[in-house]
This record gives sequence, C-alpha cells and structure tokens, in this order.
Amino acid sequence: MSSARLFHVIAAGAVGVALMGLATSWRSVPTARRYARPEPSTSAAPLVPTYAAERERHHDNRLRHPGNLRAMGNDRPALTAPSPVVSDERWAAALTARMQRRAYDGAPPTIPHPIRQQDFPNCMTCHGEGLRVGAQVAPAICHETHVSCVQCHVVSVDPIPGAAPDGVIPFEDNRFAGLTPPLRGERAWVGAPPTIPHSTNMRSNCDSCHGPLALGLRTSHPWRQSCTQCHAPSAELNQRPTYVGTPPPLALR
Amino acid sequence: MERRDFLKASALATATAVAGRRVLAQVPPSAPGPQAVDPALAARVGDVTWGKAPCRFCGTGCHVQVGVRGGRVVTVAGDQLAPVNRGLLCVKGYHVGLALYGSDRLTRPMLKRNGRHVPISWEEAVDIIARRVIAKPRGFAFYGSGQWTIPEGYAAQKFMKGGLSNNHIDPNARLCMASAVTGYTSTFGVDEPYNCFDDLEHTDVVILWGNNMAEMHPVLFSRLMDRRSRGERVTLVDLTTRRTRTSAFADHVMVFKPHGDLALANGIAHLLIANNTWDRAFVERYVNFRKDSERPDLNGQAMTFEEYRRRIARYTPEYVETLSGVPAAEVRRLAGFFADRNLKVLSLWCMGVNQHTRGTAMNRLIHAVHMLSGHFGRPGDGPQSLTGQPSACGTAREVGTIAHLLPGGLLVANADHRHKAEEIWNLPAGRINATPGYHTVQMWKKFSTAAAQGGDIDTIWVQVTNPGQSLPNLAELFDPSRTMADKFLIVSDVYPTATTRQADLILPSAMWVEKNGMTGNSERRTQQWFKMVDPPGEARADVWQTIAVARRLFDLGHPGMRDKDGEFIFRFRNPAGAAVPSWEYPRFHEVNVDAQLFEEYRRFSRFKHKNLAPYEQYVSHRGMRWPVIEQPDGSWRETRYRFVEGEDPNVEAGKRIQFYHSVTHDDRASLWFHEHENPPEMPDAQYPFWLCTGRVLEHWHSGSMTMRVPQLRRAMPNAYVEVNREDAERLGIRDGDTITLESRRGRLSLPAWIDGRASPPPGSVFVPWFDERLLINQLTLDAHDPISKQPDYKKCAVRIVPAGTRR
Repeated sequence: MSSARLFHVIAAGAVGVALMGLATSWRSVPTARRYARPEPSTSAAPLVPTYAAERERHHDNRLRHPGNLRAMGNDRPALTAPSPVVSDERWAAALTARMQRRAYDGAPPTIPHPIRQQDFPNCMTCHGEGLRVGAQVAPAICHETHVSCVQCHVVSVDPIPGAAPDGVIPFEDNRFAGLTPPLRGERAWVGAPPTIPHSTNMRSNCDSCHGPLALGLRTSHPWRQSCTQCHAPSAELNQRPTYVGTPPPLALR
Repeated sequence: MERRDFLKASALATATAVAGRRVLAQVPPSAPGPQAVDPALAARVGDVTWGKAPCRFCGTGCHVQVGVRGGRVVTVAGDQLAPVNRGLLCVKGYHVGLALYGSDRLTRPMLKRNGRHVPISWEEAVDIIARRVIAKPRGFAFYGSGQWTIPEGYAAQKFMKGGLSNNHIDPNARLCMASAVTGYTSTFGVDEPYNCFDDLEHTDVVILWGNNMAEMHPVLFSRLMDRRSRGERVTLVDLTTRRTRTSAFADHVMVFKPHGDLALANGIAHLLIANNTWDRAFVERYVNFRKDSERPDLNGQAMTFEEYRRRIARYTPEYVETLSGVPAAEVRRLAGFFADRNLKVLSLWCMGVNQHTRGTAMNRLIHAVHMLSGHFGRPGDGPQSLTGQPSACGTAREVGTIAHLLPGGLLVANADHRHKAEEIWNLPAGRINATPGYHTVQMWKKFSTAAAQGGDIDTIWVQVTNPGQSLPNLAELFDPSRTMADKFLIVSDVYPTATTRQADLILPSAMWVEKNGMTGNSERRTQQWFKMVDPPGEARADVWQTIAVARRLFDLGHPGMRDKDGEFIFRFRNPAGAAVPSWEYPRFHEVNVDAQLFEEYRRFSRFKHKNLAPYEQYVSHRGMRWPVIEQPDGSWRETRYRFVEGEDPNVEAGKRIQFYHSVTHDDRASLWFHEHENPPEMPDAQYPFWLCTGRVLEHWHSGSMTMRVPQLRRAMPNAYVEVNREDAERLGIRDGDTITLESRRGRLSLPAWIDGRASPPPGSVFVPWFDERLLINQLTLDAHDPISKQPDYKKCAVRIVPAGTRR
C-alpha cells in the first residue's frame, strides 16, 4: 500500500472514530433544560434583582407576593360557608404549631418573616384584618391596637447581616418550660358551649384565631359574632377578683 | 371586651362576594422542636399560683403577674391593675420568666486557684472576704448597682458607712444617672423628678432629648403613642444624634452633632428672651439665676438676669445651627413649642443627656428652659428625667449607696447629717467617716493601679452588675487589675459574665423572684414583691451574703460591726420579739429580712421629705410614689407632683409652687446658664468618625440575662456597627462586611449593618454594648463630667479599617 493511501485509510479511520465518539457522546450529553418564564400572576417566586439593585434591596416581605392587597384581602372563606367541627388531632396540631413561636401560652408570638427594622411598623396592612398570602395566613391582630408592634413582637430569624462572632453563650437549652395552651374548654354537658379555657387578656378579637382564616382552630359557627354570649371566660385566668368575702359554692353536690 | 375590631372584620368578610368553596390555608411548616401539646402540661383553673412583681429590667417599673407551678415560673402576664403599664409589657418583660432558667446559672461559690475556678463552701467564701477586710480595711471597696433591691443596697450601705467607716461604696448608677442627680440637686435642692408618668396622658408636645424611647422605655412610649390611636394629638419631637425607631414615630426629627444639645437648649432660651415669650411671672416668683464658679462644682454662684440675658444673646438660631447642625428654622420651631403657653410640653431624657462630659450642665439647661418658659408644674407640662435601671432611684439614689451620701439624701460631709444617721443606727459618735469615698471611675482606676503607684484599693466586692463589660476604657480601668496578684475581685452574680470570668471569688446569687425584693422606679414609685421560687443550687440572696460577711467580721472581733451598745449592727426579730440569727442560712427565711431592713431605712426618708410608707402598704399596692403621707383615716396617700400646692402636702398654703429644699433657702429653684463646649475628644484627621454606644430593645444592659433567652437572642444575636450609607459607599463597605473600629484605646472587629435598626449621620458610627464577645468599651473614653463624675459613652473618635470579609 502506498503512503498516500495509507494516510487516507488512517485519516478515514480517525475521522470515523471521531464521528463514532461524537455520536455516542451526543446521546449522553444532557440537553440544556429550558425553564418556563414565571407568570407574574400565578407564581410566588420573586423576580431576581439585578446586581445593582441587589445592594439597595431591603429585606422586604412584600416583594415576595405580587398582586394587590385589596384582592388578597378578599381571598378568604365566606363567613357563612359550612364549617365542620375541627377534630381533636387537628386542633392539637394547630396548637403545637402556634407554640413554636411562643415562649409560653400568652407570650407575644415572634415574627416568622423578616421586617424592616427601623421604619414605622406597618404591620396592620396585613394583620389589621388578616390576610391569606400565598400558602400562609397573616392572622388578624387579636388584641386592641398598640401602635408600636415591634416593642413586643420580635423576629425569630437573625436580622443582622454579616458574620456572627465566635464564642458560645448557651441559650438554646434554656430550661424554662412555659405553660402550654389547654386543648379544649370544659363543657357542663354534652353539647354545651365550651367555656373559654384560656385567659382573654390581650385576646379581644376571637376571629383572629377562631375565625374563617383560622389555622386549624376554626370555630364551627363563624357567622355568630357575639362569642361571650355563650362561651364563658374564666375570671381566675383573667386575674379578675369576682367576689368579696366568702366565695360562692361552686360544687353542684 | 373589645368587640368593635371583631365586628369590623366580620362585616368586611360578609360584604365580599362569595367565590365558592375555599381550601383552608395550610398550617405553616413548623421547625422541629418541642413535643406536641401534652394535656398534662396544660393550664387548669387553680393550677397556677399568681404573684405580683415589678419587672426585673428597666426603670419603667412595669408590674407583672408571675405564674408559678411546681416551684417554677411557667408564665408571665402584664398586670392589669398596675398604673404604670396597665397590662402591657415589652418583649423583655414578656420573657422575664425565662431569665431565671439559662442552663449555666452559677450555683456554687468559686475561688480562683492557679488560674482556675474551683468550688468552695459558703463558709470559706465568707471567711475569705472577712479576712481581706481585716487585712486592709481602707483598701476595701463595694461596687453596687441600680439593680440592687432596696434592702440589698441598704445592708451594703450600713455595712460600709455605718460599720467599716468606709465610704468607698459606689453604684453602677454612677455610669447612668449621676448627672441627673447633680442636675436635680443643684436646681431644686433635692434629687429625683418632681413629676410622674401621669404626664404622659396629659401632655401635648413631647421633646425627646437624645433618647431612643421606643426601644428603651417601650411601655412608656406606648402610653404616649397609643393616644394617637384614640384620636388624640400628641406631637413628638425627636432631638437625636441618629435616626432610630423613635424617629419613625416623630413629627419632627432634628439630628444634631454631639454636644449640640447644649447649643439647642441655649437657642431655645435665647429666642424666649429675644421674642419676649419667656414667663416673666414664673421667673420673678420662683427662680434665681445661677452660673458656674471658677471651677465647676455643685453650687456655682449667683447671677443676675441681666448677665443671663447678655450671655444668652449670642445663641441666635444661626449660631446654634453652626454649633449643632440643626437648621435655624428648626431651632425656631423647637423654641416655638416652648413659647406657646397653651401647649403642655414634656421633656424626657435619659442617657444621651446623662452620659455626657457636660451632663450636669445639660440636665440643668433642660430644667432651665422649662422654668424660663413657665412650662412647669401642670400635669404634662415640665421636665422629667427617665431612669434607666429598675432601682437606680429606689436604691442607689434614695438609699444613698454613693460615695458621698447617706440614706435619705443626707451627706457624709455634713456633721448634722452624720449625727442623724448615727442616731438611727445607734452608733457611737464619729463612727461615720466624713470624707467622701472614691467614685466609680476613681475606684476602678485605683484598683487597676499598682499599690506602689498609689493604687490603694486592693479588694472590690461587686454585686448585681458587670463592670468587666460596662466600664468605659476597659484597658485602663479594669484589665490591668487582673494582672496584679494582690488585687482581689469578688463578684456576686447569677450567670458567668465578662466580670466573673476574671474574678477571684464568685458568689452565686438569687435573682428576682427567687428572693424578696423592693425597687424604686423612675417616677418615685417604690414597689415590692415576695419570693416565689427557690434559687438554684447553692445560690443565695445578696442581702444574706452581705449580712453573713458582717457577722463573720463581728465574730472575728471587728469593732465596726458593733453598735453603741456592743450589739451586732444587723438585728432581726421574729413576731414574738425573740432574736433570729438570719446570717445562718438555714434560718434566713424565718423572718422577712427585707421588711425589717426597710422599716429601719424608712426612718431616714422623712429628712428630705421622701417619706416612705410602711412595708405592708407596698405589699398591698402596685407601688406608691413618695412622699407617702398618712391620712387621718389611716390610709396612705402618695404624691404625684412635688413642690406643687394641692398635690404635695409639704407645700404651704398659698405658695402655689414651693421648692422647699431650695439651694438658696428662699423657696426658689436655680435656673442655670452654661456655655456650649466641645467634647474632650473629637474626630480629627487620624480618627475621623464619632463613635456612639448604647442599647437595643431586646437586650438588657450587658446581655447576661437576655442573651440566654432564645426569643431575644434570636431576634438580636450579636453586636454590629451601624455605618452611614454614604460613608459605606465611599469606603467600599457593604452590608455585612466585617470592619475594624480603632480608637486611641483599643480596636474591635464587627459586622457592618447599614440602615438596620438605626441610621447614624455621615461621619458617625454606633455600636450596641450588649455582646460579651464584642466589648466596645475597649474603645470608649473614661473622661467624665467634673461634677457628677459620670463618664461619656456617647462620643469619642474612631477610625474604620475595612477588613473586607463577607459572610
């Protein structure tokens, strides 16, 4: 075989090998995935800010939820919609979830989202009447209005940017065991309206926990407005002295 | 029961269109944590024992209801019946119950041997202290606290001044309220606000002089601001060196340069005179003018009105603008509030004015503008200093645990006062030393100076405070003492702190509701509580510790521990009248030691009309404001407004306003004049930034308690440095970068936080001091006010060294 022909054979072989390699590897190269462009009206994902805007962007929870506030305010179950009695398991689960944010039953809950640390607290925008925000609910404020919300409610996630210093002061194992909420109020007989098993101090708006936006503590009759007409609070839990002199007999026997 | 909010919410809901069935919102995913609700742990009626107590934290003195079950605090609620807070607390108050249960409570006395702390017995610890006192009695000093209960402070006071004839007892309140004290005593002749928190409901205009009230006195701030939600108009003027959460609520924010407050006060006075809107009738009837002597002191010298008018003449709005940075138009606006006699104007201030090398002057000037303008004496109309600590008033100032004071406002330097004290304490004449002891900065400087160089303090007993973190210029005042073998530091505390880690002897102490107690808040309200739970391990009440050491000295023959009749200076009796040895710890709880100490202390309170009621009155009340005077029907009546006829029973009929402790003995107050002066250390080419320090809402002081509460720690886990946004851009500092601050005294690296909790103006940075790991007091300056001896934590010069690391 002449050198020219040998060259052609080798070259063809090399090209063939190369083509074969290309063919086999072609199949194993993953094709680039294409992400669907998010629809602003249905997606809860935030638009990625530019690098220039990144530095200016404050931690602002409102940016996560496009859509207007009024429409969101209307997105709630109707007051007159049928409301089944919540099972004990679901009730207990809801109480457990509540207690994650409270040092003890009655403590002001910590804030599970970032806030602007310095501005006038505009909490009432969402918490004034309660709001469903995506998959979460911003419960309505349950007590009378105090304008300095952040005096009692603090964030539960580190708000400070940057590296935390070394050195440990133990705190996660603080041994305080706070009062947990009672499960259900007592009933005088089957079917009686349960008494309110918790203090009603700072809990003047029952709707906040038990109303249509409630998380597992929903009342079976949210259309009734005058709760304490049937459900009796406890003077002792509300730290109210109720009698002078000898207490009235409470035993029925 | 509030129903209007509920009705409003449900009316809105029914008014909306029904859009079909909705799926209920999901329960948000919860972090892994405590177990599901256990019915056995749930509250039942009658399960929890409730007791009342003032909150452990700030000078507001909110009352809390403490719920105890099984010997532990399980819940806290705001006390509905308390006039101060009416059921509301702040985040620290709501979590005050958790402060007892950090896992590293001190439970055993510890002595440092060969560089390590080893546990010892209480007998040995008490003996060690007693022997150090005997070895060098003049070298012993007691560093106390505005967080001392009244009986604790009183026991230490009597032990030192009435027992050891040693006046080296000074409180940490020297670092927070001393300038307010000298301001009051040199203006009115007697300490503490003449007014009370009732002002908050009556005032029209609130002027905040350099205090971040929204974070530091939150419940009082709510009393003011919640009036707006009831439709009332409350104008808030924030005079500040940086924009804070308080600024967000303010109608007018006036950012001033450090020491610009001196100029602003003079600017107001100038305009009042120039526009003839000052209250001539008030001034002519109730006031004398006063100025500094050659060397500034408490008394100064008399001044004529003409001289005052001459010297105030140059403080025009334009000149004040150059000194303070506040625009002249805003200065005019500020003065305009004072010029309007129809408005009720309330000035409130705290550390911005007190932690100031001209703090006494600044306190005097605020009193002066109120008296010059006649805004004085009506509810809501007057100057009211806010106190930071829960008992700086009740203990440090009233019991007089200060180097120059005796209880009840008496002075060690006054022979008649010493005689009165020796009489009440049944001491031989001459027992009390007439020379004032070392004030705080002096005391620690002497402690950190070698004996050979004149450092004549060799033992300090610290109770209820954390000087290893809170003293200014630590490298000068605290650190050197820890390298000198003959300097012995005793610390009574509840948790390991920056101070206990360096102490020679650690004494585990009971805190808050683990002992009986009494405190006095910012509005002269003395409050009481009973012990509700036991302290952990071998922790014991501070008052027992002091009495036990006194008894050990008595047993070792120290003559100072005996009164005139040879009896021990601390005597306690049971209801039958038999003596009880309360210094033997098993017998400490047999009688109410607090009540017996308080009844003896009470006798001092009448001398300067600070009358206190019997102990039982405080048991049955949520505090009472002194002077408390017994009425013909046997009840006890508190005083809301001192010096005002009709409110203060000590005011003679027809006098209307009577300053019956007048410095000039003519029933008049002193209206002081002071020039503006620059701070001792100002930014320059080498150190071009102002450094200011202070607190945040979540943490009390050095964080020894609040950093151990998970909710507070998570909300504010570490210190940082606030940098102005423009400065940050110019220096290439991004949010979160670690930068190094350097002063002439020390350096510290911290993360930068831009427009975070507060925003300083250009050329200025701020660092909170609650973080034990980031001791900003290594950088601060120990220069102090010449009269009050209070140091200035609010201004010194630093430079920024960007380190460039980012999380």
